[in-house]
Amino acid sequence: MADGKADAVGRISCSDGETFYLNELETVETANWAAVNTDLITVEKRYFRLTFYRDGRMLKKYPVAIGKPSTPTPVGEWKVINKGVNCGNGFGVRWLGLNCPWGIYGIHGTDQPGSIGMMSSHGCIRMHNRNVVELYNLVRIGTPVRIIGDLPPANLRRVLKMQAAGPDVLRLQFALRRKGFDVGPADARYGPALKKAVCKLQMYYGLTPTGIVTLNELNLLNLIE
Amino acid sequence: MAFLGALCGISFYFTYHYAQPFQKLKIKGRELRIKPNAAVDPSRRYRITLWDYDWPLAGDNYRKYLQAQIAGFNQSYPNITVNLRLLDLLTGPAELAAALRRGAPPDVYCSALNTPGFDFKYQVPVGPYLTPPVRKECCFPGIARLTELDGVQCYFPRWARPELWVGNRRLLERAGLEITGIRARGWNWNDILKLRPQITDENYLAVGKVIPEGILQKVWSQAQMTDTVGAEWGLLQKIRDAKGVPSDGGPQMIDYFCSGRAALLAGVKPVIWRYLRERLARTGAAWEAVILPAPAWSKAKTAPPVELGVISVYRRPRLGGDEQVAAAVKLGEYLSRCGGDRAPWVELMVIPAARVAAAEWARQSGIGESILKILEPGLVGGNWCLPLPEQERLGRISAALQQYLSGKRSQAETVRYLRTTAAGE
Repeated sequence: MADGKADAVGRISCSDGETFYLNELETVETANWAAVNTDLITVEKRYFRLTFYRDGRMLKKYPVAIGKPSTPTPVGEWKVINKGVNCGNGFGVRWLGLNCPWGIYGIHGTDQPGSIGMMSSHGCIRMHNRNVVELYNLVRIGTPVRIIGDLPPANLRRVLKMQAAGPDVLRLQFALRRKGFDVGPADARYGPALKKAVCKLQMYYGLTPTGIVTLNELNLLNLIE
Repeated sequence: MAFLGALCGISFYFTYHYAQPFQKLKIKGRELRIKPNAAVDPSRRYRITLWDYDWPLAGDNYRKYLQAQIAGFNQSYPNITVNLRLLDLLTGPAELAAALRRGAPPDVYCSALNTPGFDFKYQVPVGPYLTPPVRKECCFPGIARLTELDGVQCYFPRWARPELWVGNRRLLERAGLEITGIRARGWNWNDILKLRPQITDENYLAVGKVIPEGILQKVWSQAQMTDTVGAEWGLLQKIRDAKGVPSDGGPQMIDYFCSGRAALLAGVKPVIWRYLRERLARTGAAWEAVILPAPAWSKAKTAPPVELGVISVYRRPRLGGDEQVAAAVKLGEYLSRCGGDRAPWVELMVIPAARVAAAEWARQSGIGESILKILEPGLVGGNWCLPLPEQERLGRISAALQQYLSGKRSQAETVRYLRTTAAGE
């Protein structure tokens, strides 16, 4: 169940092993990225900090726990694709699911408040329950979530093209952006925005603008040497 | 009577001159009328729309460069307001085409790396507006010729991006090929074949756009008509026998060259040469990547394709008239000189059309004026770059021939393939 998709009864089990019942969800087509609202969530892994912005102004700041080194929280530019509650005995009371393509990750509460401020999860972002309830009530489906930190290691495929997804696509997106090409959100998915950026890179270097990344483009972006 | 006769003559002269101000031009069999002696009236205000492209330079530098250019232009023409619009690199040509169809082109259009077809309805050929000294200053002679149709300069040239070959200096000199001599006198594929004994079986002579476009076209045309092969296959056979080219030399050409597995990198742009130079310096390579002219294919000299950035001037219907066109020409001429900060041209590694700017670019880019001289014949004899679908078609034909050159297909199989498949994929 990658990509944060729920099962038939609207239930989701995240990478931390907790289960939530979804009461709001959206079919994800991240290739059609449209700004839903002016809200933004940033998670700075280095500082174990989640910040919520509205209309460009910081509204709330919360401490969080992030993934262990062996199960890191995925760096990238995601969005909230579902929201849910846990109707159990009060642990992990709220869920905000993210559209990371290689696992089920989200922002949720915890019954281990001592883990906040540490690298303790299996990749999800944990918050104190009172904080996640507050955030849950502020955040809408489609809100961008930027997780800031070191990019995950990636085995770069020799050819990257439309429909590809994964950490190597994420590296490609950041490398293009560093060179001044607009890739849209760096969401680890090879969609139309990334294809256009690749075509422009190819034009810049005098290559045929196929929109397909080969070893030539990976070399020119200094992704391999 | 004599006085009356003189008066009639003078009256006739003024009537003729000012009632018949148009100059007639014939381009591609079609007649155009322009008024090159229209002048910008300093007491009038003009509004010029300028379209250019949003080049991905760091820090929005291209927009800043253009704004600085416009500010410099306004120092001479404070009565001309320039409205700038930056187009997307991919969709810009289609936007211009749509604007021309609607009858709403910009006054001045700066292309990216291709030359838009001449629009007989709205476009104004700029040559007649220029005086010879201005033409000499703003037009790099070799590039300027590429902007002419039937001897009439139709566009302002702005920059050019020729193709070049890059060589591994160490391998070339080991084979007895002298770089200075190649640059001065040119070379051909027989010279390249001399490299073969100097490199191991795992290495190759060349990767990239090894076969010139003209030869690709010829080979494909012959394959459509007959199963027999033409004269070009003689040299192709020699390259095949010398194991000259790998089968996957297209998508991996940079890898092959940087690792020293190919002695030559064929048909790349100056910006890739700069990348190679920086990478070899960064990795501490013991050899140097040197710029070379394209080799001749057997006895014929081949002119590499040149991408050209040009400036077009259009007459906007119901707006401004001949003075508006004159104002637009002034702006186009100013922009074509590539004045001010040279940084965009250095970063893009495109050769400015103006002589003075090109010399300065050669110094700042690290290419050097001597290399600029090598590139000049290519600029004089080069062809306008082909449209994208044609480039892609030739790419497929080139890939098919490289399969032959690497030994993966026989000659007969390749000809059959070219006949039935390559063009239609």
